[in-house]
Parts: sequence; C-alpha cells; structure tokens
Amino acid sequence: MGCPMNKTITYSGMLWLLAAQFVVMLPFTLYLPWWLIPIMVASVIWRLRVLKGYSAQPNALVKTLLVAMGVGGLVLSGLPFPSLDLMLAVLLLGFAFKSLEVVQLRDGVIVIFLGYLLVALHFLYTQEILAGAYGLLGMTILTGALIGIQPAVTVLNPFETVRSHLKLATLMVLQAIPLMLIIFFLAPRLPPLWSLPMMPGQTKTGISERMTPGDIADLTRSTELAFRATFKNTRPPQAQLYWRGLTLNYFDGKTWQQLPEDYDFINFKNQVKGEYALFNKNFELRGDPIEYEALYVPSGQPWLFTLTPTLNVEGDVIRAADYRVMANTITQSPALIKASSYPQTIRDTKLTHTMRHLASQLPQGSDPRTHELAQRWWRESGQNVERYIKLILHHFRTQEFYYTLSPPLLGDQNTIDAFLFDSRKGFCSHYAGSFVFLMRAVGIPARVVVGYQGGKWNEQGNYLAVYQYDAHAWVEVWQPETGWVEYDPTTAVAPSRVTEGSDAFLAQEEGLLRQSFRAVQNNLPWLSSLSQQLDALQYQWQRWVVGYDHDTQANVLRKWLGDFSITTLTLVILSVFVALGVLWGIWLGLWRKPRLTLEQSLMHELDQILAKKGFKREPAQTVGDFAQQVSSKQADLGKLLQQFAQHFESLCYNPMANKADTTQQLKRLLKQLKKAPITQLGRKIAPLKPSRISEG
Amino acid sequence: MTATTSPLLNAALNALNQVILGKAHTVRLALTCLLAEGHLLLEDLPGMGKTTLAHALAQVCGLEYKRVQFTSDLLPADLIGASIFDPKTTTFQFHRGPLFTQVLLADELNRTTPKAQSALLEAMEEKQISMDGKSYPLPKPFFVIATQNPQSQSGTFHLPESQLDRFLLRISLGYPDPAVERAMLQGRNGRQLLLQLKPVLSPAELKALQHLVPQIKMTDALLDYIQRLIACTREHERCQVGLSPRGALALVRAAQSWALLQGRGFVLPEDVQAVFVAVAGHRLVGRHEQGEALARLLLSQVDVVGVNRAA
Amino acid sequence: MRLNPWEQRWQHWLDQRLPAKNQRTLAQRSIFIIPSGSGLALLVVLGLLMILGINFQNSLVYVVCFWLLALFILNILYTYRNLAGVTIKALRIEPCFAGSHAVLELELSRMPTRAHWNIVLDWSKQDHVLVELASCQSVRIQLSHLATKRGYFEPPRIKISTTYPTGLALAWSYFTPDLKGLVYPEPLQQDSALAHQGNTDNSGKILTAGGSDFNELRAYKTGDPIQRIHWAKYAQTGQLYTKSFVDYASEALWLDWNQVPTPRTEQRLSVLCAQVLELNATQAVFGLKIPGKTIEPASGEVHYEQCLKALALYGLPYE
Repeated sequence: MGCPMNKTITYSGMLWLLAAQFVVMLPFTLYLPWWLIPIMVASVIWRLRVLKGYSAQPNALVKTLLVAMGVGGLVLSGLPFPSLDLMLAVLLLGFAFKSLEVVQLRDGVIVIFLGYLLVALHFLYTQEILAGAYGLLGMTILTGALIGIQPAVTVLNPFETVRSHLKLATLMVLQAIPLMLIIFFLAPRLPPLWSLPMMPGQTKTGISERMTPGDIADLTRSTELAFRATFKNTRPPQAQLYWRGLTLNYFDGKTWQQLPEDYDFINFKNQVKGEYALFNKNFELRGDPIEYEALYVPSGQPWLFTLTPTLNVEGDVIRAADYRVMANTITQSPALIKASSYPQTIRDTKLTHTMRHLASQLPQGSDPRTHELAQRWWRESGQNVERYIKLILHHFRTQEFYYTLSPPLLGDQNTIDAFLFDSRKGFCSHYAGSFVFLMRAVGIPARVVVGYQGGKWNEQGNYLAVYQYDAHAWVEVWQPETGWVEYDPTTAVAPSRVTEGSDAFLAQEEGLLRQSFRAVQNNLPWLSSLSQQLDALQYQWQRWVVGYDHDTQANVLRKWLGDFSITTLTLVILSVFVALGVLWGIWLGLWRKPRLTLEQSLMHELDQILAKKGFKREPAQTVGDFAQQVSSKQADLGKLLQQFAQHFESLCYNPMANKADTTQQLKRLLKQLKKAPITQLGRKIAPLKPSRISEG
Repeated sequence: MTATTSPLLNAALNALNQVILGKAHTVRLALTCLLAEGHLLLEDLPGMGKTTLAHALAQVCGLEYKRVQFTSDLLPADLIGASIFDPKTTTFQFHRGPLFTQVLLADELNRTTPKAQSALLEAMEEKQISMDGKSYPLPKPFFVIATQNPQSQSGTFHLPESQLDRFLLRISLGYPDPAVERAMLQGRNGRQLLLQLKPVLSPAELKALQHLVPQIKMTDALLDYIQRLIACTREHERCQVGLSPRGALALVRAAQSWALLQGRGFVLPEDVQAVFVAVAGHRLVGRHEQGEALARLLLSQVDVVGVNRAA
Repeated sequence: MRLNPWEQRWQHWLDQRLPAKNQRTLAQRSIFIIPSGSGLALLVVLGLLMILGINFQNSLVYVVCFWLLALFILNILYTYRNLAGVTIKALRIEPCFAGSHAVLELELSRMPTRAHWNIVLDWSKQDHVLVELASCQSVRIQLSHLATKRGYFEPPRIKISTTYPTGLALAWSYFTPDLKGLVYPEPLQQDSALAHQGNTDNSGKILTAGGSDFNELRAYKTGDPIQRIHWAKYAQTGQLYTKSFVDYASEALWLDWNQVPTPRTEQRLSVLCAQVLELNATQAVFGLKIPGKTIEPASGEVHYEQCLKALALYGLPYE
C-alpha cells in the first residue's frame, strides 16, 4: 500500500528508539542479567555513530560474533531451560541487538512492538502500582518513538520535534484511557487456554509447606504482604483470627508435612475433587457467620487462607476435607474470595478411617522420653482429653519455655525430646509440633495447621492486612463429641503473640526488626498513617485492577446493570462507544466549526438577523453598501443598519478605534436590529432563507 | 490630517467635475492615480474627452502639461530630446524633449513602435532620462496619462502585459450620460471651461498629499480581504494570469489613495472595491472574458468579511 | 493495463464517487482509511498479549493490550483528521514533449485552525512527494508523470495519503485533476531538413529603420544620435554624416508537411517539431503547413506554442 518513500530512520528517530529501549529494558535488570543493558546501549551507540558517519555498519561476521557472545552469556548466566525467564532474556538480547541493524522504518517498528510486548511481560514479574506507573511511562515513550521514527518533513529543530512528538504521544496515550477502561471492564475474561509451565521468575513466597522446627536456627520473616481481608459486619477480635492454610499430618521424626503425593498439585487437586472433598454431611452448621472478603497476593502456591471453618465461598476455589480452601488454578493474578465462616460449627463428629489413621501417625521408636512423658500425663489426667491438654499447656506455661525466633538446632533424631527436655526454646512450629506429638502419643487424633494468625488493621482502608511475618502454626485435636477443635500451644508461652499481633510481639524480640523500616514507622505516627494510606491505595489497586477477573467483572456488571442480558450489554457497549467516539471527535476538533474572528461572528449574526427580515447580503457586499441598499427600502431599519455599518467599519478597519466600546455598541445595535419591525411597503416581504454558513 | 486635506481635494474634485461632466467616478480614479504617484492608462475611443481630462488634471494641480501624439514614425529622440550639434561652439547640447514635463499625455500610445513605447515606459519607471552617459532627472511630480484606442487593430502595437503593469490604473471614460450629452449639445463645452479653470492645488500641496498616501492605515481585517482578493485572482478557474505581487502592491496603494481622497485615515473594503477593477482590469488575463469583466466577476465573488469561507 | 472485473468495478466506483475536479476539499466522503501494514502487525502483537493475559490471568497485561487497542482506534481518528480538511487544487500542467515528464502543479491548503503533517502525494510508479501543511497555510508542489504519447495528457488519479502520526493507519483519498496538459511530439533531429525549405540570407526587404545591420551613410539630420555620427568622415570633410542601420525581414520560412522526407505521420510530426524548436531558438520568422492547418509566418513565444500545439494535436479528435 505504501509508496517508495525513503523510509530510513533519522538520527532523532534513533535517539527516540534508544530512549524507548532503555526505558523498557531497565526494570528487567532486577530479574534478569544486568549486562543486557550495556549491550543495548553499546549497540545503539554504534548505530548512532554509523548514522553520524564515524563508524561502519557492522558486517555479518561481527554481528554473528556479537550474537554468539550474547547467547554464551545467557548460557553462563544459568537461567533454567526451558523457562520463561530464559525466553525473556533471549527476547531482551534480540531487542538490544536489533538496534544495531535498525536502518529501515520496519526495523524500528519491530523494535517498538517488541517494546510494547516487553512492557506487558514485565507485569508477569510484578503487578505493583509503581510497576504500573512505570509501564505507563514505557507506553508513552514507545508511542513517542513510534511517532518519532515516521518519515517526516522536518520544519522544527530537533529539540522542538522531540518535544512535539512527546506531547502528542502523551496526549494520545491519555486520550486512549477512557476506551481502554471500557474495554478493560467489559471485555470477557477467559480461563487459561492451556496449562502453563513455571511462571517467570516465580519463587514461592507464601508460607512453608513443610515444618521442620529443628533445622531452623534463625527464622527470617519477610515483611511482605500475604493477603488483605475486609469484614462485612464487625471485625472479630484479633485472637480469633486464625487463617487456616493447610494441615500437616505426616511426621517423620523431624519434619511435619503432608503426604508426599499431596505435594503434586494436579494429583492433590484430583483428590480434593474426589474423595478428599468437603461434604456437607461432615459438619453441623451453628451460630452466626463471619462474612469476609479476602484478596490474596499471588504466591505461586494454591493455598488460600480462611477463617476456620469457612463453609460458603464464592470464587474459583476448591475445598478439601480438612476445611482448607485452595485456589483451583495457580495464577499470577490475585485471587479474590467472598466467604463466610461459622466458628461455632461442629466439624467431623465421625472420622473416616483414613483420616483417623492420618491423624494418629507417629514415627516408630522416636522420642522415647516424650512418649514416656505423654503416658505419665495421660495417666495423671485420668485419661481425660481436656485435662490432658490443660496439663500440657500448663507445663509449657510454668516450665522454662521460651518463645524465640532464633532457637538452637535440634539435630536429626528425637527432635521432640530435644525440644521438650533440653532446649525449651522455640517458636510456634516447635510448640505445635510437640503438642500434636503428645496428643498422638496417647492415641488422640491431632494435626498441625499452618497459616497466618492475626494481621494488621488498616484504619484508612478498613481492612486487615496480613503479612508473611504473621505466619503461624497451631493444632487441631479431634474428639468424638466435639469434632475438630483448634488449640494454640504457643499462646501458653507467648500470649501476646496472639492478642497483640506478631508485629507488636516481634518488636520486643531482640535485634529482629530493630533496623527495619517498619519498626521506625511505628514510632512516627504520621509516617505510619502515610504508609497505611499507601497500603490502602495498593489494596484498591490489587482489588480493582490487578484482581479484576471474571468473577469481579460479573459482580460489577450485575451491580451496574442488574440482571443483564446480552442485549442490554450490547446496548451499553454500543452507546458507550458512540459517546466516546463523539467525545473524541469533539476533542480532536473533527466536528468543530471553523473558528470565527470577532468581526466575522458579528457579521454572521447580522446576516442572520437581516435574512429573517428578508434582506440578504451578498458575501461580497460591504456593510455600508448593504446598509444603503436596505435604507432604500426600509428607512428605519436602514438607519440602524447604517449606524451598525459605521461602528463595524471602525471596529474592523480603523486601527485607532476603541475596540471594546465599539464592540459593545455593535452588540447593542444587533439587539435593536433584531427587534426592529418591518413596515410593509405594499409588497409582501417573504423571509428569505438564511445565508449558508461555513460550508465544507 | 484628513480634516485639512479633504477640503483641498474636494475642491479639486469639484473643479474637475465641472469640466468633465457626469464622470465623477472616473475623475476620482484619475486623481487617485495622481495621488498614488502612479501612471494612468486611458482606454477610449477618440473624442471621449481624454485630452480634456488630462489637461484639466494638470490645470487643477497647477502642473505643467504637454501632449505628445504617438505615431508610427515617432522616434525615441522625438520624445526624450536629442543632443544637437552646435557648429558655433562645435559642441553637442542636449535639447530636452516633450517628456520633460509634469503631466504628459501620451496620446494613442499603441500607434507607435515598441521602441518609442519602451522609451516612454523606461522614463516612467526610472523617473529620469539617460543620454550620452548623462542622466537628466524628470520633473516632479511626473505623471503620464497614456491613451490607447481599443478599436484600431491594424498597424498598432498593443502594449504587452508586462508593460501594462507599469500603469497603476486603467480607466475608460465611455460615452457620456444622455443628460450630460444634452447639456454638451446645448453648448456647455468642457474645453472652454478648461481655459477658465484655476489651479486649486499647488505642486507643493500635491506633493504633501502624495506623501500622505502610504500613511493611510490598513487593519488585519482589511489586509485579509485584500489577500483573499489576490488569492482569488490567482486561483480562479476563469483566470489565466493572476495579480502579481507588484499588482497587489498597486492595489494597496490605489486603495490607500482612494481612502485619502475620501478624507479617511484608514482603508475600507469599499475603497478596495472602488479601485479594484481599474487596478486589476489590465493586469488579469482571463480564459474567457476580458480582464475588466473578470475583475468585476471576482469582486462579486470574494467574501468581504470572510464569514463564508468556502468559495 | 488489464484489470480484473473487481478492479474495474472498483475503479468505476471511484470515478463515480470522486469525479475529476480541479479542486477538492478532503472530507468524510472522499477519505478512505484502513490499518496499515504495521497496524496489522500491531493487531498480531495485541493477539499475543491477549493470549498472555488470558493464560497468566494477568490484569495488567490485559491493560497493556487494551490500551494499545484503544490507541490503535484513537490513532485512526488522528490519521483521518490529518487528511480531512485539506484542500487540494490542480493549478496547471506544463506542456512537455512526448517521452519527457509532464509536470503538474498542485496546491494544498488547509483551514487556519488545523495543522497537517506528512501528507504524501503519489502518482503510482511515477512520482511522489511528502509535504507538511503546518508551518504554512498553503503549499505548492509539483508532480511529474511520464508522457508517452503526443496530444493531450490527461493526468491519472493522484493518491493523497497519510499515516501520521504513528503509521498504524493509512488514510488516503484520490484526486483526479480535471486538466489536460499538452504533449508535443517528440522532437526528431534530421540533418539538412531545413536546407531546401527556404533561404536565410539577407535578400529580404528592408523592414524598418533598425539597429542591427549597417545600411548607408547619409547627411546628418538634426536629432541623429551622437553615437551614429561618422567621425572619420567628419575629420575628412568637415561635414557631419550619420551612419544608418536597418533590420532585414528575411523571407519567411515555411515548414511544410509535404517536404518532410519521411512517410510516417508520427515521424513527420517529430521532425517538424524539431524544426520548430530550432527555428524558434534562432528567433526566425517561420510558418507551418500541415494538412488541415496553416499557421502564418511569425515569430515569438505565442507563435511557437501555437505551432507546437498544432503538431501535438494533429489528427487527434480534439477541438
């Protein structure tokens, strides 16, 4: 379709491309080899020198060598193969090298489209607000570059050219927002087309799925957000906020974990959909629900964290027999659920054989001292479960047990013995693990529950933010009458951990977060409030932008349109598009009438007034002339018109005239002219059609 | 300034109108041309009063007047003058030709050879004569009224367009009104009145008035209109040759001069319209019609205020 | 050029919709707009982004995708706006000789409130020019087109297109000037063609007292220019003599169809054309006789053009 234009990219076009490439590549250095940037800069500088005539265009050999070096570098960088990381790195390398041979417009367009792609791909790594803003910058620069590389007649100097391109690009990007939002909110969201390999750069950031208390000498806890929750009615007290993630049943003497095959997500999902599903007959609903909404930060894990027992959930989730709620798919987008929990419900008064077996398993012959202690207490408590539990908790509370995040190592064998009798220092995992062991040692079914406890209430956003350092482990004990009941042995040692939240508790912990920002901001109320506001903004961002999925969309549409049908939806979309088109048209001046000068608009008005009275001025007729013509037929009107002509002449053609005064006079005269009656002069004066205005 | 000048000019106009009956507009144009320091081309049949007009103009302004009949055997020397050998002193002396006058009526310019024509046109342009390596300035003001007979075709040398451009205005007197003609027939002869005509302006006053012309103000709106007009001459489909920039300048100058004659310190579209045909008539070349008719047509098509942009 | 039926219909439709005119203001009716090659490529990229967004269920990838889509649609309006309101006007076509390029002069102008950038005027496979209409109100451009045959050159459709600002959409319109340009026959030099058609010596009558050739010496008359006085004679005789000069009107040359020694019409015309050129260059007075038309001897530009026009249109069904 094009014509044989000279489509070589100019120097300023190359500068645009350089800027765009730099902006696009910069954030990837956080995830991918940093040396991609110097490669890109070097290629572009080489190309610029070629354009200036200082260097020669690299020949095929040099190019091959460069590409080989780049690929070699990638191989050495040790990115796993095959992975999206590696693919991206190759893409970036190509993106960087491409500028070496950007000569034609087409090459430039390819670079820019690759840039758009990379801007999007960056969001696979992070979906923070800042990343979003940076993406907007990238889009603008890329659009500017796309404008900048077009062949053009240059009339401005380079600086002005770049500025005008940037201005136009910004304007276009901003003007595109309304339509983008409409498509974003209305376009249907489809389920993934095929299952994906490993996410790019994805490390599992959630809670640990195994619990090996003895191996950890220093538990580093991340301040990253895990999820946020809002409550429909009242917020439950902090001590009730046990966010269940998964249950750990299997103990090999050192590590608490699920059954090994349960770590295969697909396999486990099938089980949960089959025999391990949560059936309604298992529980007996009681009491008032706690209704809440939770928005989870993508963690690469399927686990969602819910109040026990959550029995009604909306969202793309499945529920397992151990009352855990998990995502149906592992996605990059934040999962949102709406749920209600019934804390007073009695769960599983009948335990299946498998469950009982799982909840009673202990490694053969380990921890003899604990076994011995368990038997002793069991006898002391008169084989009463409740009394037995009290005895254990009393023991934790009264003996020299310490809560610490830096416990001593416990070795490979008899770790429970080592903790209960020797070190007596540990965190939740230690207490939960020993407690379950003590239960099982006397034949009571029990299991470890891992998840989060508490959270931080955000006053600004009215939501609870749960952070990684809120991770917690507690236990569930089964009895025939009461079913599963939760206990938290850690509270026996460190009650404030639960009542005040881990944040407050950890602050007391020596050295843990002393230098951390969070500790500082706790001492500065305004900083704390600011950070809460930012966090609230983040929440809205996550909730409405990043977390806008099929369900949210359906909810929003239902809220706006009621029970919408395809017809209403189509109508809405159509009308929105038409409105937007008109808006754009006006904005761009497509339907704007040609702008008139003052004298032109006055004249236009006069023409219209007199046309209604039956006098039509030829466009080539001067006002004075017209006035005379009218006077000969309508003396009174003519007199007014002659006054008008006089003022009009001085307004338009007398440089010494007082513009403001004259304009006022003219406007007054126009009003008078409008009202002036027409005296019939024997013949009928048929009003003529108004003169045609601004045609074409 | 206009307050003082207009009585003078009005008096001059009145005087002229007494001699040239019923041709107020043409007379005004002729005076406009004189004020604008341009030269006038009169295109008329014989006996229309061209000579009277020229003579009257000179008389009213108190200017020296000469008439040269351009014939086919007229040599440039007959016009300019010649160096004549004086046997007594054995030297040559330059004897000034009829060109050295303030108002020159070049009658039937198209009858003479291009050589003689160009001698005159050169003098008009340069306002001086070069002879034998010496230059002789022409008197000031120097105002040429050339006449052409539009009818006679054989043995004439019509001025080419490029030469026509040197005349600021081209006008024609045309036949008189029946009423005026009757008065003439009854014996009111302009020629006799001519002899009684007293100068109204002195040459110095005329010069001062000529200096005023370029100071007549023009606003942007007016210049817009002029530009629309000029653009129209260049773009109109019936137009083969439009107004040159020199022609455009002539239009402005003539309009200013006309405005001065009206006693106004600024130019109105009316002024432009009044002089447009006279300025553009001989400069435009139409595809179908004569320049003058074309100029009229264009004038009726160009929007004065520019409300209707499409044309 | 053979066209398939669809193309014929398209051309026919275009002729109906955009008939030949010397001036046209481009507006909705006359502007076509489609995504350009890179626009289509962007749509492919959008598809890719959509798949990425769907598969990773990543909202921000969706956002980028939709943003680009919105930009793409908005850009169509921008591109349209860049062409709409431009007034294009055909001014003239310079006459040319067959085998050389006919030059069409066009004027583009705009409304005072809107700027237009990067407009391409394209005569397919012949000539194209890139103009901007932002720094000035109107611009004149010249496009050339090879004129192969003598006669009238009727300019084919000119495509006016723009991809401004981003090159993602292509807006174009057609403009067919309602002008005809004369194409003179291709000059064909032939030796001795002029030799026997007339003589060019000075045996003609004296035309007028002129200045080019010396004629005689005569007695001084009052008013004779000083430069013409024969001072040598004065020194000898003490009498003043004046040298007089004349111009000769040489006998008019006739370029005659029947005297061209080639039988073929086109060649004859070419030979005559070359002769006209040659004679005009020497400012000679000449006439032209071709079947059905005789042009009296004269010289000068007008005459020259008249002769060439007669040659150009010989035997063609014009006028």
